[in-house]
Amino acid sequence: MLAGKARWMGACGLAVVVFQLPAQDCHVALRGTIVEADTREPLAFASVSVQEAGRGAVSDENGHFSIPNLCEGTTYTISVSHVECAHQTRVVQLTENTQLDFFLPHNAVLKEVVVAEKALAAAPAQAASSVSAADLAATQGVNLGETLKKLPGVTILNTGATIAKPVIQGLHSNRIAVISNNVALEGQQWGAEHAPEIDPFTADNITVVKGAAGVRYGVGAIAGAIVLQPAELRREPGLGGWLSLGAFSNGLGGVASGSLDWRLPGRSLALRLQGTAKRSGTLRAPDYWLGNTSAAEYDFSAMAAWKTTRWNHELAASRFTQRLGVLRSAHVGNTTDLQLAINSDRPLNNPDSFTYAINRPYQSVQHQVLQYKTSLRLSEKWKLSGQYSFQYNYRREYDVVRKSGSASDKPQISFRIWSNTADLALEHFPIGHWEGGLGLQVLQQLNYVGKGGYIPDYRTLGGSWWVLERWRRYPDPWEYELGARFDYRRSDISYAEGTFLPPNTPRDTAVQFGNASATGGIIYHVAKYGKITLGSGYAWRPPHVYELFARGIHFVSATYEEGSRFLVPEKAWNSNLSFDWQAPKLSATLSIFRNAVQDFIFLQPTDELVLTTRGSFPLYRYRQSNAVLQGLDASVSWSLAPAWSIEGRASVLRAQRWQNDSTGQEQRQREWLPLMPADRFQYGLKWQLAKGKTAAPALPGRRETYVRLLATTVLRQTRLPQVGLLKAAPAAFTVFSLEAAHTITLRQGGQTLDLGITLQNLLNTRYREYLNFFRFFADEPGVNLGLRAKWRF
Amino acid sequence: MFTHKIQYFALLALLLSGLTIVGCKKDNTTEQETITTIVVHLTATDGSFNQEFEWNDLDGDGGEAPSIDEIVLPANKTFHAHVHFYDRSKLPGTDITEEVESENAEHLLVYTLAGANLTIVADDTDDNGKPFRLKTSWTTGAASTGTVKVVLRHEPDKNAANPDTTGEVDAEAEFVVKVE
Repeated sequence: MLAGKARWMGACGLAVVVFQLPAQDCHVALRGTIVEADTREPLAFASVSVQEAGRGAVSDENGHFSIPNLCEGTTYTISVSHVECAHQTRVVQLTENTQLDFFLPHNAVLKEVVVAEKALAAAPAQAASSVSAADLAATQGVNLGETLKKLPGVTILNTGATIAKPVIQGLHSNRIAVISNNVALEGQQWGAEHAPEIDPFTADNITVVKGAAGVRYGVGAIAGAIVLQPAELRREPGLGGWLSLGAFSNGLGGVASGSLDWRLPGRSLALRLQGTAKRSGTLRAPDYWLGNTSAAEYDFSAMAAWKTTRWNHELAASRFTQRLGVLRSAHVGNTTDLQLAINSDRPLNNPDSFTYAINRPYQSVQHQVLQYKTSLRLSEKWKLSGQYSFQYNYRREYDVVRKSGSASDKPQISFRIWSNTADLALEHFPIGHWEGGLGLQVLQQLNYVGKGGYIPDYRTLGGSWWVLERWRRYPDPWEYELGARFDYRRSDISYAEGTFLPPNTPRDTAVQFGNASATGGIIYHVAKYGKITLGSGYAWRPPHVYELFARGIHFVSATYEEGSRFLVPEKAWNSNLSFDWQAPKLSATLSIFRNAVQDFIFLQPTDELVLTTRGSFPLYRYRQSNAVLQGLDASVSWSLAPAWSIEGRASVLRAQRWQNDSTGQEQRQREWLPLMPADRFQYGLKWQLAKGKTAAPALPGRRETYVRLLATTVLRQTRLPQVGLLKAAPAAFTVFSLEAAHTITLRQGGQTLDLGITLQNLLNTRYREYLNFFRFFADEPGVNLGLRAKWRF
Repeated sequence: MFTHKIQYFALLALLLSGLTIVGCKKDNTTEQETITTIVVHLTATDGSFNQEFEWNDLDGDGGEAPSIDEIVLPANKTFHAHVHFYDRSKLPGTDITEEVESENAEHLLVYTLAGANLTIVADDTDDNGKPFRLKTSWTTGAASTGTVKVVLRHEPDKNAANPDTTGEVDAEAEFVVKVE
């Protein structure tokens, strides 16, 4: 859980560290791909030999090779040769099944020695999908939500065009965890209009884990987790990095991001400085400007890593600052205003012109992370790792106010969180084919809410322990995972002086929750390309302070929301069955899931109205009942001809809860859950310039030249709760997008220039999304041409 | 080896200094625009009547229900009406009326009548000569009972065909009106 993912680098001159270990179990397989270093074409008929074992293999037409039954902990010299290319040798020591890719240059002699060291955290047994490198490159300049949108089962909950939150199989906010460089983001995720404070440019790899992932990712991950990994720091001495520039026609936006990596010659110290700046103006829907949707973002991060013989250290710091304009016309005063907005086809009170200015209402968000990670190799088998992280989150919301009033230079709401987290994990390499670890975590958190906020101040203390083990013996097709975790949380709640409290409400209260989580998974590997996974997880989530104690008007929906002090934790039992097929010509995934949530917390409309100085608002209360969310996610990609492929994705979800009667007793009758993604389909045609063969799957997909036409169809959400509806769900729609990318290899030392073009909402279609809170007010943005260039050096 | 350590510490210090020093202090900079009280001050043109009617919700949104005066007016008379807005959630209270008056171009009062024999006409305009209606004239007819809703709209579009539905509601108070 704690270790970063070590990846093999193709470049020469890597550090030489070889551990001599006694011979062990001889069931380890070495697999990999051999490609030409410049063109990245797979090399067939390259011979791979393991000198010490006196055995070898020849790569197939896709450059793949596989050598089974090697021994653990033995030092092997692997030689690769091909008639057209230079001979290459690596010395490796295998501790488990290893993927080793060789990049053979033409007529150059390279010799490198590396040691296989890898992360202990194996792929989870839950259904997971990763953002492809091409999709990541195409959307990094927008926001995290946009980056994840193409994954099956992942949708976006929008608050206008500027605020996007990822939704996994219908659930979001506090029900999913966002893990960036091993740190769980402790932001203001409870609010549906609070977007994750993440710069997608810091990530090199983004994986979405679907299902109850509480054991691996902590309390709260009852619907899944979004895991972001930064690129490995530089392994060879010298300077390197990249610079990325992007421009967008809709909103006349620009983004610049750069990363500079440096490794001291002859030392283990590697450094990285990375930064992103983003600015955009008013966005445009097909028929009008979306007044006040300008945004600005400035992010910075730094990383350093160094090691001694047995210790690895990593220090990282990051700062995220963002100012987001909120659609002016969505700022309504009361239910009458909202009804007027709903009845109007065009947004009311809309400053219908372009500007870069960010006016009220807007959000200003700041997030800082400081992190120190260390690991100590105790023996050949055991590793001890520790991590400490500090996070500070400051969110301010500015409303439309009178210019001459005393509130005009102040935010109307502010939230601040200080979090301290410490992790300790003891992990082991395979012992009797079991690999895994156990660990402890402590968390301390302080939340201050500005005067007149929606929730009280609170302080949280928590702790947990976990154990996670995985069994695999090559070439045995079965793989098992077992895990358990216990979490405890205590929150001390305090209402600020002067806050009005209803009768019998104490000014200070404490709530505490503790519960266990568990996970179990079985994976069956079918032949070379297939995999069947059956996973089941049990996770829980304590009710958040806002669900317990919130009290106030939620202006976007013009409702008065009230927490309930007597909520109990939500418990989710999530099972999924996934079929995976990853062959060169056809790759397909089908995942069927069922998430049964006991005591699901939701907002229940009541018949009461709350009369305020802005008129009366319908009262919604947080309530609980059992719920079931089930459905399927599928994706397929099939090469029709050498250059052409078609792809398709489908996400289908049915989410219901049982009705409770007035005494809280469960009824037979079921009710649909609100704000659940409608059935969604995506299909596309891709033309890919492949010099010869299909690119090997193990290669970094960045170096692709392709053109891709993609259509997204979202059906009308017809499964709606019977009460609490303000406007019927928007009609079904189909939007088209076009993407193209090309990589130019520059002459000097492997520099490349990636060029890309995207055209979103190609036909300038007018549509509204059910999963957008601002669907009452305005259409989604229209056509958007994006250009980008990334120079790697 | 020792020099390496110094480098690492220097690096650590560098990274730390990149972060703003953040103290765990409460943030008292927030301020809401609260209107707890809407007052209609009515004076008869003949001087025979001078009374204030209040719509009060001192505990803010939610909590206890607001207290609302009943507007009782003598029949067949004309009154000068002046609406005042206050924030009395904290002591001393704030008179918001001044802010509204100074930004008269960005505010508009809207009166909705139902049932009572009462007519309301504007007595003022904003700085641009557009409707403002903070000051109005109320004329009562025969004895009757009904309601009057006073709405303060912020940032209306006064050039719109019907400016009364533009902008957003800053305050809304509905009174029962009895003409006797």
